Amino acid sequence: MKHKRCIITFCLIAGAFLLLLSGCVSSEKEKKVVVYTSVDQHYSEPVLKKFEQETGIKVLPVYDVEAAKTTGLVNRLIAEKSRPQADVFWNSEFAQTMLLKENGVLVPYRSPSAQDIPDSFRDPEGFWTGFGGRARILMVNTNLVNQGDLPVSIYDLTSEKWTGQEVGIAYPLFGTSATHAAALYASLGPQEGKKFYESLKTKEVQVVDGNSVVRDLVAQGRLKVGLTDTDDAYQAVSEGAPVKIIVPDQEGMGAFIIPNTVALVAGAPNPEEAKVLIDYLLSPEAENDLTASGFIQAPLRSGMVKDEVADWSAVKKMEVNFESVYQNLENVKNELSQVFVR
Amino acid sequence: MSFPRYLSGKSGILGLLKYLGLIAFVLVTFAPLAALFYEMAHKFMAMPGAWLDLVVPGGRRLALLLRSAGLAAAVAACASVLGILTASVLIYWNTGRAGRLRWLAVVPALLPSYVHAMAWDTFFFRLSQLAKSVGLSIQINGWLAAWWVQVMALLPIAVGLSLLSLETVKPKLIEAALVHRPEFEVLNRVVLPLAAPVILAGAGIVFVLSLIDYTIPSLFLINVYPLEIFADFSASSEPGRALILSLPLLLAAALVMVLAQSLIRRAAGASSGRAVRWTGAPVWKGWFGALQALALLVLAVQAAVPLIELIIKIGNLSAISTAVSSAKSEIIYTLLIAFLVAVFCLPLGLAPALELNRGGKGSRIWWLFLTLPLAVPASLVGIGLISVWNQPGLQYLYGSLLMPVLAGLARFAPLGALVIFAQLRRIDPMLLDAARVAQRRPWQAWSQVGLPLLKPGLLAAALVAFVLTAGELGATLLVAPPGQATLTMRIYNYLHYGASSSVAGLCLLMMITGLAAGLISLLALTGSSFRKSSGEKALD
Repeated sequence: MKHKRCIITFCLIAGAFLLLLSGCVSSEKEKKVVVYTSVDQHYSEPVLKKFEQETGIKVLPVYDVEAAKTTGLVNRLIAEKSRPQADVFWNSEFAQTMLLKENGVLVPYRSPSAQDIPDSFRDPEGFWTGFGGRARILMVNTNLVNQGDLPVSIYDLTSEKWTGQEVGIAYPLFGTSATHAAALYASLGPQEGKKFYESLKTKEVQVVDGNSVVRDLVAQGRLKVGLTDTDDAYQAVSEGAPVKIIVPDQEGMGAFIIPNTVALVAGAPNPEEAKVLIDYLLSPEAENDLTASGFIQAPLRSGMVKDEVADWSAVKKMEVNFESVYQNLENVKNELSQVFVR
Repeated sequence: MSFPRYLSGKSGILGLLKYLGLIAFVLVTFAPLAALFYEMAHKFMAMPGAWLDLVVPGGRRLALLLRSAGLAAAVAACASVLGILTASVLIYWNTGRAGRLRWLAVVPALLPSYVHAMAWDTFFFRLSQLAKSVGLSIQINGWLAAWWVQVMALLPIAVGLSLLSLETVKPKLIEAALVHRPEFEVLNRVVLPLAAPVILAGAGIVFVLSLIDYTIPSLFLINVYPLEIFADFSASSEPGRALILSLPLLLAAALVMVLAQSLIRRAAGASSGRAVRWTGAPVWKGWFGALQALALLVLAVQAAVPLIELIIKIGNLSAISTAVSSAKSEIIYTLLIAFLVAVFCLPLGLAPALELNRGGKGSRIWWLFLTLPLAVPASLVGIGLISVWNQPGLQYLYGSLLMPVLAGLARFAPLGALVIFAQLRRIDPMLLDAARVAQRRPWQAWSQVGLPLLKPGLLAAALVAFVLTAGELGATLLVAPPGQATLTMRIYNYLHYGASSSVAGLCLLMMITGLAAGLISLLALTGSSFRKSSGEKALD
């Protein structure tokens, strides 16, 4: 009797497993699109759900996590290159998108929604298109720093006003921190760029696990000043933390703006639906929604939701060529590993 | 005394099933690694010079590796000492409810390391704020903080292994020694030397687990060798390179485990073959008793700090319900994957466990097979799975639930096998010999006596696999089907976004799941240890 029960239990489990496997295969007729995105699920999910409601195309997202330290989705896309699952890649920055282009993971698609996006935010060959960005900014705890001592430049991170224990950056080896470092290399030259980070190392600033950690430490008062992204900083502001956002280098090189990028995956299983999604993400409507939600602070179009923190249309932006930033990226990561991972 | 030959399944249908199980285990666990090694070898042959400097770490990398090894050694030493002190008290809690409760000390081993890291980081900050308010300056960070938090995260494992080590010592030897010498001298000169093989093996396991962890050290601003692996992977996007950089860790893990398993084999030979019961708690010297009390206090703090910090961060009960309702689909998906891994790791883990139990030269190979996968970075396992399964004709399987299940099996089936092996060592083979006399066919003795005796270990292995799979991130992120996500992926997304109360709520849910699973597992295991069967009574 016991044997029969075991056999029946095993058959039930196996049957359930097979049913689940089959259930994972959707109907051939259902329209769907698979998007891999590094944009925080909190911001991207509402946009994708709205797209689903408006178009009837089911969206199957795969979200990245900061803790994977950029070994996540990008490497998944490269590994799947010969038989991709993804249709669209929506990135919160541009360097990894360019890496994918170099690895043959993308194909050109020039969206009609992108006609009003400046050429400098589009790949010349049409492999990717940029839209609405974030900025690299300084975040200051207003309980600990007086109005007269506010930093105005990223070079103030090396100032003697603060000790190394009071200043924080994320590892410039991953994500937007690495892209910012590459932008500095491109803008200032490799020697000057490296010198800046070496001075941070000499000062023994706190080098933490990610931009969100910088945000949390400044908001808690464990750091006085930190270098992070606008979306992280805005989250602290919205939660009522005693922090102030400083857009740096307005008298100098300008603030580095990092656009979102979206691209069509080569060999996408659902190419037509993918193009519909790309058109939607590049539309003013989507850019406005992302601006309103707090993910985009530097929209590329005018007439977006008004930002109470800064007038981004008047902000001085760092003049830097994205291709040049990308070409510096691998060198930056290798050099700065030597500086910071020791 | 080894498991009877007919139940080890060397012949007939049982033998065939065992060999199929061994093949399945090797395929599931090592196919992803084999794919990575193939890619690595392919590129190595094309550009040998470029890869040579990665194989042998030098300069900065060597310094990082040595520093990581130093931290791991310090963690293993401290955890082992605390483990022995705690076990020397708990070993005498061996009847009734106390006999089960003592194993609760092992349950927090199932908590994800990031829960420990976050909780202790906040605790240190609160401590420094409190000290500041009374005019003192206390800063716990850097190496000290990283060392302490890793000790806290791995202490339950050290305590469990120390308890097992003391259980291998026959009480009659202790009783005989106590006739001639006082208690402390007996502990020092009889008990510890006899228990040393398993104590050292436990220290080796803690060493390896500390060596491969970078989440805790990086939170406290300490750079360790695994971080170098990820930094290079991020720069190059070449998994073959990352695997080569991982070789020093793999070699260190293999070295420690080869040493540890040879010691455990010696200890297994000295084992009484069935669970032992220590009686008559001794009277210790004052200073030793104080150390034991301190160790017990540390153990209590180790469990209390994560729990209290999570409760504080949650703020109110509605935060838990909000977090749970927003992550409903992830919770269900996680439970489903973890359940399937738990179920399928049993047939996969049983065959290697039987091979380990047979002893001999063959078991040495299986020790390596079971311990090497522990040292491989999770994301490389994910890349390997993509290489193996993203093939023509397999698309139906590749985009399905099968992939995260395979990721869980590749990572945790070896641990399941080790847990089953531990239970095999506790079964008295004489019971099985008696059953064989009464049964007409070998499979009847196996199914009616062997499996029921093994049941607690199977349940424990299933629950260990269940909880570890639920907390797995690196490999799952790479193979989860589009549109599906696990609870851990959701937690990390919240972490980045900054929803601390939601994160705390979901972490508490993970903690409760782990504790419940551990409790059930331990109740099942300890139930077989101290409940004498009629067979055991007859043998007495």
